[in-house]
Amino acid sequence: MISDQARIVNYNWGGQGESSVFPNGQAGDASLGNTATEIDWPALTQAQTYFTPGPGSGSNNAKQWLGTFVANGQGTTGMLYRRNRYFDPNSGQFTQADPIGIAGGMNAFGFASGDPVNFSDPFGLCPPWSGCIAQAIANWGAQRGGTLGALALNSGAALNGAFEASGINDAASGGEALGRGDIKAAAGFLALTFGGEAFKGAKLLKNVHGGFATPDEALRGAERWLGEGYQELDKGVFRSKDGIRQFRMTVHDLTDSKKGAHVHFESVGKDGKVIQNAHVYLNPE
Amino acid sequence: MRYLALVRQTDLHPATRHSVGLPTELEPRTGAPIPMGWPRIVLIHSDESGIFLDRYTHDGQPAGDTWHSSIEEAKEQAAEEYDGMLGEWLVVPESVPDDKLVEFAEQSLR
Repeated sequence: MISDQARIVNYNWGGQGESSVFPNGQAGDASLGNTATEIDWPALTQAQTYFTPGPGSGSNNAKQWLGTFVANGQGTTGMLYRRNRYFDPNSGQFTQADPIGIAGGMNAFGFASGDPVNFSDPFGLCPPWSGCIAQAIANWGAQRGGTLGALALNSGAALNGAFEASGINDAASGGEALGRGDIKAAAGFLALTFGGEAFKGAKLLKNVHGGFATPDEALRGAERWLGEGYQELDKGVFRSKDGIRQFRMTVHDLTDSKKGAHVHFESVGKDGKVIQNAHVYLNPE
Repeated sequence: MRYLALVRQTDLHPATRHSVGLPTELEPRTGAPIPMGWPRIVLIHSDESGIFLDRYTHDGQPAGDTWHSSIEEAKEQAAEEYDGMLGEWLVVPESVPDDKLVEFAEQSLR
C-alpha cells in the first residue's frame, strides 16, 4: 500500500536506513524510518520489522540483513534466499545445485556439509567460506587428473592447511557476518581472505568483469593458456611447449596474505624473462 | 635472506608489464587487464615455493611478483626489467618487517 507518506528506504548492509525516496522523487530522511510508512514489498507485510531500531529506542531487537528485503531471506514460495541459491527448510536442501559444483561437498544440494550445528551457509556455497577456494582447487584437481590436476589437488590441500594454520577459521563466522550485515566483522573477514589493498583493486576490477575468477575458471584458462604438451618447471610453475607462456599457481601464490589468493598468466621472452604477468584473484563465487 | 633495491624514477619504462585480470587472449570481452602500480622497490625473498621477486609501490602496495629458480635469476629479471632504473642490491636485516621495507630502502639506499 502506498500512502502520501510512503517511501522506499535505502538500506545499507547493516539493515539500517541511510536515505529514502518519496513517490514524487523527493529525497526523504532516513531517520524517519521507524515512523514513516514504507512501501510493502511482495510477501512482506511488516516491512518495518526489518528496519534496525534507532539509537536509544531501547530495543535490542536489531534485525538481520540477508541481502534481501524479505524475512530471513524467505521468498513468496517459502524458500529461504541465500544469495546464490534457495534453501527449502522443509526438505533441508537447496533447490539448485551448488554453483561451485562438488567443491562445496559431494552432495551438491546439501546444506552446510550436513552439519548445520557447526556450519552455516549464508551464501549457499560451502562452509567454511574461505575453504571454498581450497576445496574447489583440490576437487578440480581430483576430477581433472594429469599433472596440472595433481598440482591443483596438492595446492588445494596445502591451502586448506594454511587456512587452518593461520587461524582463518574465523572465515566461517566471517561469512555469517556478511549475511547478518555485521560490516566490521565482514570487512575483517574480507581483508583476511583477500588482503586489504588487493581487495580494493579486486573490487575495481570486478566492475570490468576481469579481476576475479573462480578456481575452475582459472584452471580452465590455464589449460587454454598453456596448450598441449606443457611442462612443469617446478611445483606450481607450468610452461607451454613452445616456452613462451607460463601459468603459476604455487602455494605461495594461493596463500599470499598481502594480495590474497591468486594465480598468474605470464608471457615469457626468448631469454626466459617474464615480459607480461597477469594476476588473477581467485573468488569462490 | 632478503635482498632489496630501489627503482629510480626516470623517463624509462619497465620492460615487463604487471597487471590484474585475465589476459585479453583468454577473456577478450573485458578489455586489457588493468596495470599494477609503478614500483619503488624490488625485493627478492624465498620460501618453500621458490625464489620470488616482488615489486612494491612507494606506499608499500604490491606491484607484481615473479617466480625464479635462483637468486641470480631473480636479479637478472630485475636488471632487464628495470634497465637503467635499478639501484644497488642491499641485504635486508631480519629485524626489518615487511611493512617497513620501503621506508628502510629510502633511508638506506637513497
